[in-house]
Amino acid sequence: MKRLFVSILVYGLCSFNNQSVAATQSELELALEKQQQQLALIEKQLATLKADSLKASENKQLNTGQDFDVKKNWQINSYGSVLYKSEDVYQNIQDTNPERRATTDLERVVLEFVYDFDPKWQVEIELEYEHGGTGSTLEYDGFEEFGEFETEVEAGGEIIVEKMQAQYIANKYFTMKMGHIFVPVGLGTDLHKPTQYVSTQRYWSEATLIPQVWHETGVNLISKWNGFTAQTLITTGLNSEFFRTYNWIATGHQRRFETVNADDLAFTLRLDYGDIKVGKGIGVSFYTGDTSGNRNNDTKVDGDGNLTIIGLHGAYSYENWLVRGQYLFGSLDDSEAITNANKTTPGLKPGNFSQLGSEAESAFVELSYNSQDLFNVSKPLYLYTIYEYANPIKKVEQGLATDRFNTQSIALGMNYYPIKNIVLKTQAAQTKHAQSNLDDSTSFSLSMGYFFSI
Amino acid sequence: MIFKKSLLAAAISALVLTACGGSSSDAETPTVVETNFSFEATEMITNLTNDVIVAGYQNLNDGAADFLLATQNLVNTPTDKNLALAQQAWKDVRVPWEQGESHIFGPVDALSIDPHLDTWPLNTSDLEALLASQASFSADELKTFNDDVQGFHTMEFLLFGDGVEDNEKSIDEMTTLESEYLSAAAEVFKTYTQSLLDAWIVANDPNDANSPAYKDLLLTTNNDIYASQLGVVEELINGMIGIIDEVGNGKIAEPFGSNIDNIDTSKVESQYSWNSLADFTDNIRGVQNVYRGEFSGQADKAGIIDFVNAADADLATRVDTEIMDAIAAIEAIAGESDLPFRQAINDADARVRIQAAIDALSTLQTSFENDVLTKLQDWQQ
Repeated sequence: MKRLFVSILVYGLCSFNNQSVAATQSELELALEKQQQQLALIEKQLATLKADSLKASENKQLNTGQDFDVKKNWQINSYGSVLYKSEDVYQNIQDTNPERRATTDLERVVLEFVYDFDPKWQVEIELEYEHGGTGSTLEYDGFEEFGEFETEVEAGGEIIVEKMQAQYIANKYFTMKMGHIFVPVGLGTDLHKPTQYVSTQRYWSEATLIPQVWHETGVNLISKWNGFTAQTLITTGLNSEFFRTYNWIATGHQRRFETVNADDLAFTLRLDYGDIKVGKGIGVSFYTGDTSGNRNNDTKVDGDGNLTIIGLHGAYSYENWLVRGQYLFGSLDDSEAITNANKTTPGLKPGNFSQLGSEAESAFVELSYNSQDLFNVSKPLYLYTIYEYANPIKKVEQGLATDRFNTQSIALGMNYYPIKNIVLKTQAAQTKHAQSNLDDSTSFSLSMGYFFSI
Repeated sequence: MIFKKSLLAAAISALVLTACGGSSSDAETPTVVETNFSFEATEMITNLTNDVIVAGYQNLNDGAADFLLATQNLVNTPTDKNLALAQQAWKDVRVPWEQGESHIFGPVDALSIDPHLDTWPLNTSDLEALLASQASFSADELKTFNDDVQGFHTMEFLLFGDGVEDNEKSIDEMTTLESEYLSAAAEVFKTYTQSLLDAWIVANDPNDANSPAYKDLLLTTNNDIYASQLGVVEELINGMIGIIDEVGNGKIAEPFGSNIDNIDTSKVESQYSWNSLADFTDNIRGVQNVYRGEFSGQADKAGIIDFVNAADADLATRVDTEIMDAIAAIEAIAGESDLPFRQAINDADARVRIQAAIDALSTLQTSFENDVLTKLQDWQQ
C-alpha cells in the first residue's frame, strides 16, 4: 500500500514539473521547497498510518490467535501450553478432608497445517500431543470370550489428530467442511488456543459435560448471510458405554477407539450473529443424536439413548472490556437402561461411576479487561474474573442425583503478553461444593502458552 | 514377568556353567542339578475348582440367601433379636466372600462382581441423602445406584452404625427406611452372588446360554483362556499372591501409616462392624484353602501343596507353616484387650504386633513369588 501511494505521488510531482518548464529559477526553487515540505508531511502521515495499521493488526491477532499478513498458499501454525497448579484434592468419594497437591502438566503441543490448493479448496490438519504425548487406545474384540475391551498399549506415544478436513468455498454464502471436523457445541472449540481463553485452563464447566474441543468425522455446511452464520452438521455420534457419573456424556467421545462406530449419527445446528472470536457475537447451538447404536455390546440397552444438548453463548467487547458467557443444558433418554447396561457389561468396568444424569447443565461468565492503558504498561495486561458452574448429574431417572459433582467456582487472574506470541497467566480460584459436608476448596495456577504461524 | 526373569536367570546360569566347563580342561564335569519334576495336576485342578472355588461360591450364594431372609425378617418384625440375627448373617456371608478373594479371576472380575458386592469406601454422604429424601426403596431401583451405596459395606453401615464408638446398634436406632434399604440391598446382593455362581457352573457369558461354564475352562484346558494346565496352576498361584499383597500392603499397611501420627482410620475396611481382623484372617484362610486343597477341618485333598511337594518337599512344608504364621500374626493384633483393627493402629503396643503381621505376610509373599511360582518352569507335564 505504501509503494502504491509513493508512486502516485512521484507521478504527480513529475507532471507538475513538466508544466513549469518556463518558470524562473527562484520560482522553481520555491516550488521545490514547497513540494519537499508536502512530501515530508505525507511521509509523516504515512508513518502514523503504518503504526496505526500495525497496532490494529496486532490487536486482531490477539483476539483471534491468527496471523493475517501471511500471503502464501500454505501455513504452519503451532500452539501449546504448560500448567502448574496447586489445589485441594480428594482421595476418594468418601473423603471430605482434601489434601493439598501441586502438579504440572504439559497440557498440549499442537501443530496445524493449512494448504490452499486454489481459492476454493483447502485442507487443514491439526495434530495434538497431549500431556507430553503418551497414551493408548482401546479396541473391542468381539471374538474374545463374551467380547473384550482391550487396551492397545502399542499405540503409546499416540498423537491425536484433532482435525483433518477439506474445505470447499462455493461462494461468499456457502462453505462446506468435510472429514474429521470440530463439532461447534460449546465455546471451548472456538476458543481453544491459549491466547483465546483467559483462564489458565480451558473451561472446566464445559469439560464436565461434553467433550472439550469436540471432533468427529462428518460434514459441516456453513451458510453466511448479513452477519449471520448457520452451521449444519452430520457427524458420528457418541457411544453410551463410556458415559460416566462425573462427566456425563463427555467420555462417550469415541476417540479412545481405533475405529469409531458410526451406526448412530448426530445432527448439529448452530446459528451465530457476529463473530465470537473477535468478541462481538451471540449464538445458539443444538445437538441431537442416539447413543445406543454405537455401543460395541449393543444388545444391552432397550431404547435409543437419545441425547440432546442446547447451548447459548455470547461475547461482547467494548473498548478494553470483553465479556463472554455460555449456558449448556443436556438431556439423555434411557439413562436408567444405560446405567444398568454399563454396570453389567462384562469387562467394561465403569467402577462406581455407572449412574447417569438424565439431565445435566453447566454455565460460565467471564469478564476481562485490558489494563494496558490504565497502568500505562507497554504490553497487553489483561485482568479477568470467571464464574463457572457445572452439574453433570442434575437429575436421575431413579433415586437421588448425587451432589458430589455439583460445583461452582470463582476465579481471578491476569494475562500478560511480553510479546504477542507468548502469554503468561496466573490465577487463583475458589470452588464451592453443593454437598454440604465439603468445604470450599482453593487452587492457584500458573500457565504459559504460545502461538505462532509461519 | 517374574516367570520370564527366572527363565532368563536359568538360561544365563546354564551359559555360565557351560562357559566355565569349556575354559578349564582339567575341571570336573559340572554337576547339573536336576530340578525337573513331574506332577499329575488333573486331580488337584478338579478338586480346587469344584471343592474349593465353586463350593465357596455356592456357600456365598447360600449365605446371601440366609442374609436376605434375615433382613426380610427384620423388616417384618423389627426386634433387637432379629437385628442381631441379621448382623450375624452379615458376618457369616462375609466369610466365603473374603476367603474367595484368594482367587479373584474369571467371572468375578469379568462381570465386575467385586465392585458390585464389595466397593469400599462407602459413600456415606449419598447414602444419608438417599435415606433423608426417599420415601421407599426397591431392589430394582437400588440396582441402578452407584456401587458405593450398595454391597457389603452399605449393609454393614446400616446394621452396625458408624463404628466410631462401638459396633453395636439397637433396633431403636434403626429407622424403617434403613431396614427397607438394607433388605433391598440384600436382594440386589443375592442377584450378583447368583450370577457369579451361574457363570462358574452354567454359562460363563450371561448373554450367551451356550457359552461353557467357567469351571469347564479350568477342568478341560486347551481353550482360549487356558492353553494348558500350566496356565491354570499359574492363575491359582498368582491369585494367592494377589490377596497376600493386598492384605499386607493394602488393607493393613495403608491405614497403619508410617508412624502413629500418620494413621488413617478412614481406610480401615469393615470398620463399622469392627470385623476387619476377621476379614484379613479369612483372606489368608482363603490362601490356605487353595494351598491345601480343602476348607479348614475337611479331609485332606490335593492342593497346590502337593504340586510344590513334588518339586521340593521342604518348601511345601515351609510355605504351609508361613501361611499358619501369617494367620496367627493377624489374629494376634487384637491382643489381650481384644482391640478392633481401627483402634489397634492407634495403639503403640498393638502397632508392634501389626508390624509383625505385615512382616509375616511379606515373608509369605516372597516365598510364593520367588520359590513357588518359579517351580512352574521345572514342571514336566
